[in-house]
Amino acid sequence: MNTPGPARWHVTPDREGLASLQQQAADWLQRSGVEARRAQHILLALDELAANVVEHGRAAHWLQLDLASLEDAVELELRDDAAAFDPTRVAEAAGGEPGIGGHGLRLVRRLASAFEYRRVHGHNRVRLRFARTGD
Amino acid sequence: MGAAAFRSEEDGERVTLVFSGRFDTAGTLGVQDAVLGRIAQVAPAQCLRFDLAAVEFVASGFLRLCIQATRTLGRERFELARPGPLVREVLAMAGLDQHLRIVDSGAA
Repeated sequence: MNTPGPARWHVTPDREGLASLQQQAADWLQRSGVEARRAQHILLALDELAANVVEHGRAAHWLQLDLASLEDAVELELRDDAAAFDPTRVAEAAGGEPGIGGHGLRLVRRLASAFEYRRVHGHNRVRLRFARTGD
Repeated sequence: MGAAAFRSEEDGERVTLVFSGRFDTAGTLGVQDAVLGRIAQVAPAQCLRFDLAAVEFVASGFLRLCIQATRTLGRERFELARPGPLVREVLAMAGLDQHLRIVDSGAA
């Protein structure tokens, strides 16, 4: 199979941009031979991270997604120009009755094998890594 | 990828919202006002079911609709029906399978 090389997309931080990222990433993951269930996990984590930028009104002007296929993993990096926000430092809610919010980042933590944040040149950069197969 | 959509069915004591497609954030944003409006219209003597048999994907935005329905109606009057494997997996990862009533049967 001819797997695609690294890919990059820029979108506006709105509903249309989120839908575009999902479609572009789904196509790329399929062409990369990522198994269907794992591809859905990656799309879910991407959606949660991107939605976090869009829904919390952090005044981003753009979102940039990079996807790269490694030998045994897929790496995803999402950048935005919003105010500094480190999602890796958001504490998970304690047990008990579920709150309305906080589920997106919980899902990201469950899905990704690595979850890293850097603030570089005024941009937020969140990097996720996923094994290509398995849980 | 299937577009997010739903239709409402009513048999007297039960309102069923039959969902289909992908409920990623963009898809959920397209229906959430209508869903919340329908939840608010459920009569005190009625219960509400979300039929998920034709749902391909859910993200946290859809989970929030489920939590809102439970908060509005109470656990006894709200249930999720027929979620597929991926939807079940997401509910479990979010810890909601312990808090929401999930049933495997019940055609819409």
